Amino acid sequence: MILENFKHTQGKSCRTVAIRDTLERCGLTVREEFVFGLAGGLSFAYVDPGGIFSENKFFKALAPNLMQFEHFAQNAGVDYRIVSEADNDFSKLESMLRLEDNPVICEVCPEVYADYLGSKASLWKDFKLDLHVASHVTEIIGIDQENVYICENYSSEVYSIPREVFARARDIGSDSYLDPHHRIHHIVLPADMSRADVEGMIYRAVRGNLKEYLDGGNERLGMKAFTRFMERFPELPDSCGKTICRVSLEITGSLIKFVSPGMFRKMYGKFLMECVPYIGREKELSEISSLLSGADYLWNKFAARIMKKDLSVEERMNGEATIDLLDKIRSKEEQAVDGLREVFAA
Amino acid sequence: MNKNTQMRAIAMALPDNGETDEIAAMCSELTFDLCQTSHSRFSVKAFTENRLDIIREYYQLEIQSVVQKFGSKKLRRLKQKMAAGSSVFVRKYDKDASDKCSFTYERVSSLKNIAGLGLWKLSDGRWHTGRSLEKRASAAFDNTRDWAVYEDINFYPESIHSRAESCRKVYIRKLVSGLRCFISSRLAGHLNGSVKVSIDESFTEQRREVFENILGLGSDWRELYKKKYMSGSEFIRSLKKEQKMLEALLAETE
Repeated sequence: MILENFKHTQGKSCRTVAIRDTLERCGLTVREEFVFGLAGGLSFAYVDPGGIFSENKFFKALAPNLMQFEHFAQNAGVDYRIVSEADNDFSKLESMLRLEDNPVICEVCPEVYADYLGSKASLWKDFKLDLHVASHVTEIIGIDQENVYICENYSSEVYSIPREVFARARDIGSDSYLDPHHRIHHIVLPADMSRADVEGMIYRAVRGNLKEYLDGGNERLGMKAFTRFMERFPELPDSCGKTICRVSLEITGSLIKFVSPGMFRKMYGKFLMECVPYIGREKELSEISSLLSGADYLWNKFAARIMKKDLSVEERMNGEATIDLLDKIRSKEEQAVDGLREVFAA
Repeated sequence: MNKNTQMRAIAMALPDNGETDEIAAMCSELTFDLCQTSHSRFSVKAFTENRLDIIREYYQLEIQSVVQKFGSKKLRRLKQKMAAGSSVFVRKYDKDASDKCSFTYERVSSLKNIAGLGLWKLSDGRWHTGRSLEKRASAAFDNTRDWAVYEDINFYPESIHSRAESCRKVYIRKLVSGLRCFISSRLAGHLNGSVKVSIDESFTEQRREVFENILGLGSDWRELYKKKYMSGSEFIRSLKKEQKMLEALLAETE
C-alpha cells in the first residue's frame, strides 16, 4: 500500500520535516522552522579531541537534533513512543501504515541505499565523517511486494528502494550488526490538530530550550560547549597535532555544511518570526532573528574556510580570518541568546 | 513488576523532595497498542515502554535512551558518559526472565574492561560481566523480539529542574493528553460499531494500577471494561469516559 494524497516538502532537517509532514496530514499546515522551534532547535555540541574519556580522537562541532521528537511531543502535548521490536518481514511497518494512514518514521543508515537516490546519491558520498550516519530518519510512505517507498528531507521526490536493501539500511532483525540499534519513532497525533494553545507551546518550547542550552549539565552541549569551542579551537593545532586537526576539520566542516547547515541558526530565527502572530514582540524577535541569520551565514563561511585544502591547518584554525569569523559568531550568538532570555523570561 | 521496585535506582538519583516514590509509581501510564488481528477484529494490550516520560516532563530533564548489546562499544560509550558526569542505568533482568518487564534499572557505579572482558559494577553492589547481563535478557528478547531489553539510560543530574506544579497535576494532564491524542487519531477511526475489540488482561491491569493505586479513584472504572470483547464504538466511549473522569480530577487538583 502507498499513502494516498501524501504531501511531502523538502526541508533542512530529517526529524523536523518528518514531523511537519505528519502534522500536515493531520490538518495542521506549519513551516518546518516552526516545528524546529517547538522541538527545541537551538543547540550546540562540541567534542574535545583525544584524552582517555574523549568520544574519539577527532574534534567535532555541530548543532545536534537527536532529541527533537521528545521535545516536540512534550511541548505540543502529544503521545510519542519508540518502537524497538525486531521485524524481519516488514509486517509491523505495513500494519502501522495501514492503520494510521500516516508516514512511518524510521531510523536508517542512509549510505546503504545511496545508489537508489539518483542525483541525490552524491550527498551521502560527499560526507567526510569517521562513522556511519546512524541517526538519520526517513519517512516510509508505502510498501509493496518489491519496494519500500520513502521520502527524504533533502529532496521532494519519492524514492523506491528494494525491500532487501531497505531492510539492510534498517537492520532490524534479531541478529542485528548495528550498534546501537535502529528504531521507529511513533508520534500519535490527533487527526484534528488545531492552532489552539500554540502560544503556550511556544513559551514552553523556548523556555525549556533556553534552560537546557544555558544550564544543562552536559559539558559537551549548549553554552558550555560553545564557550569551550570558541576558546579551544585556535589552540588545537598546538595540543593535538596536524594530522588529527586536518581530519577533524574535514569532519567538523562536513557536519556544519551538511548535517546542521549554518548550525540551523537561520531556521531558529525564522521560527521566532513565525511566533510573532501568537506572542507579539515583533521588534525584539525580528532583531534576534536577524542576529541568528547573521550567525548562520558566518557558520557556513567558517565551514567553507576550515575545509579549504589550499590553506594550511594553522591558517584554517588560527589565521586572522578564522579568528575574526569566530569573534563575530560569538558576538552575534551571545547577543541573540541575551535577547531570547529577555523576551521569554518566566 | 511493580514500578516502584523497577524504577528505584532512578528515583534515588532524583532530588529528594519526598515525592520520588510517587514519581516512580507514576511511570505507569494508560498507553496501549492497538493491533488488527483480522478484518474486523482488533486487540488492545498495555504499552509499557514509555516509563520515563513523567520524569522527563516533571524535571524537564533530557534523558537519553539507547538500545545496544552489552559489548565493548556500549561499555566505552557509557564510561565516557560517566566521566562527563552523567548518571547511567542499565536493565538487569531477573534470572531466566522471559517477560520484557521483569527487570530493575540498576545504576552503573563503575566499569572495567579487563582483557576484553567487560565488567559492570551495578547498584546491587556486585560486579557483573557484560555477557551475564546479556544472558539474563536473552530469554526476554527471544520471547518478545524487542531490542528494548538491551536499553541503557543516561542523564545529567545537574540538568534537573523542578517544576512549580505538583507531579500529580503534570501526570494527570499527561494521561488526559494521551487519551485525547488516541481518541481523535486516525487509528481510532477504525474502531466503529462493526468491529470487535478484545481487551487483553494487561490493559485492565494497567488501568487498575493507574486509577486505583496511583490516583486512588476507587474501582468505578471497572464498569467500563466488564466485557472481554467490546464493539469498537463501545471501546471509544469507554476511553472518552476515562478522559472526562481525568479532566474532572485535573480541575480539582490544586
